[in-house]
Amino acid sequence: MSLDIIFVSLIVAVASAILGVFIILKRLALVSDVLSHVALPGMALALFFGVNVFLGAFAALLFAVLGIYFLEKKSKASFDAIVGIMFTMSLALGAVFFPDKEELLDSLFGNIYSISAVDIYITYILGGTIIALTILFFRKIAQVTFSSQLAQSEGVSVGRVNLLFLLLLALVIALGIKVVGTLLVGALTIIPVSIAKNIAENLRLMAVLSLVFAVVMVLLGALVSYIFGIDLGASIILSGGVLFLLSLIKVK
Amino acid sequence: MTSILDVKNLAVKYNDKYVVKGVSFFLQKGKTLAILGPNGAGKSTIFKAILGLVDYEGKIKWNIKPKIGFVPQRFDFDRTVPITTKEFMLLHSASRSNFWFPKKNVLDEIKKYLKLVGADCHLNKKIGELSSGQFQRVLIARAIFGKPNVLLFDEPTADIDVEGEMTIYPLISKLSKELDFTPILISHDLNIVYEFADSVICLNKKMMCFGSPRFVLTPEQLNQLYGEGVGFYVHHSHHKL
Repeated sequence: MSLDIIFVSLIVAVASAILGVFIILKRLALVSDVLSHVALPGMALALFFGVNVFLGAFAALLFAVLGIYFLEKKSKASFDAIVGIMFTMSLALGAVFFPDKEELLDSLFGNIYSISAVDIYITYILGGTIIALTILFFRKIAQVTFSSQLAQSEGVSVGRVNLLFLLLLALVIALGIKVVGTLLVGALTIIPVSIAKNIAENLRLMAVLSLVFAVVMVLLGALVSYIFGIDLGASIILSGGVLFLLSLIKVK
Repeated sequence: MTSILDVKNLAVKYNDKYVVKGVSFFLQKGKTLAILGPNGAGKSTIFKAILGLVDYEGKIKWNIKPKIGFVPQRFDFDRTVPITTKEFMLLHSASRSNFWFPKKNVLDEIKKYLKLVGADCHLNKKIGELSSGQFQRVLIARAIFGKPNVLLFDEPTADIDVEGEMTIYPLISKLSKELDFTPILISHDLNIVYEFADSVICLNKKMMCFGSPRFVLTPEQLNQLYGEGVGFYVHHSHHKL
């Protein structure tokens, strides 16, 4: 296992965790899960045309978050159902259009060992940008996430902040797919934050601890993967799951 | 007396159906305006229109540069999220970039506003652990933290104890004088309107009256607003009419 692979996993996990804070605040734990499925048809098309798979995933996710953004503005009651249907259809489309079943499996569960030098640079640059932007806009995003009505009355342009958040989320999911795959990428956004939430006494500590647990999850996962020869993506998520169960003891 | 807000023929539609219609009123600086009406009359919708949270027809014209403080009726959030009162206040735009490392003057200001509403003892408590009455006060503190010139106060839903409700209106009245803002209150409670409002809008999907409570809240008007006989029955038993 090269150091690059560990670093890529770390930066993706940390970027996911910091955005995950808002997903938990918004009570949208399943959104990143469902959203990630949308990436599949994009990835299939990218493979078909021989472009970088990350680009395909991101393009499809961008399309999806813009869809969510406009649907949310209309705020019709059937929003949940439309999103649910759209996303499961993407999964089905992905399954149909994937040229090669092996690649489909890689996309579903991730295959970080197939990561190219270009992908590594993309991850460092974009991952760093996501982390920096989220820290920079943390208060504003939290203000809007916690109550868009109050935020609006306090002079925040709620639509713009929501859009920024959704774009960052699309980016982080596109990056995470390489590491843990579309089926597990949602877990990177919610597990570290859920552990932190069980332990922290305030929001700032919860955010910091989320990042700490993201790092611990990756390092523990790498160790487990190395010792038992299990897939890295799965080991990371399983390690996180065990840490979460342990954090429940504190809550009780 | 100058009007700071003129609303003309305000109407709001949800799903092609009007929820409020024909609402016209003005707001005078320093004078408390109440919006009175039964549940579902569209009272909160007027606030949403003023805040720009919903599309509306008609005119909402400010004659001052409004700085609105807003206390919503309901505030849904995950009560298990560990966010303290201090952090909840720091989320306000007025805290500027002080969320991670708040400066002493910002913290002092937050303490000052919490003290004004009698909630300074909750500074480091998680808001999920406050009672609904305590949280109501924190919401008021957050609204006045932005130094508003207009305060929109939506009455809390039923879960606030009567005692808490009875002390919150005098508090707002006192704050409005000390901090120089003009309050608009939503209430279904006639006593509160009589006691604290200089003018009142009666609302039941459409506007039924506007003026000084003593003149416009006639028994006939109240019958129309709440239905026959309801003039003798108002929500809490301790109310006298």
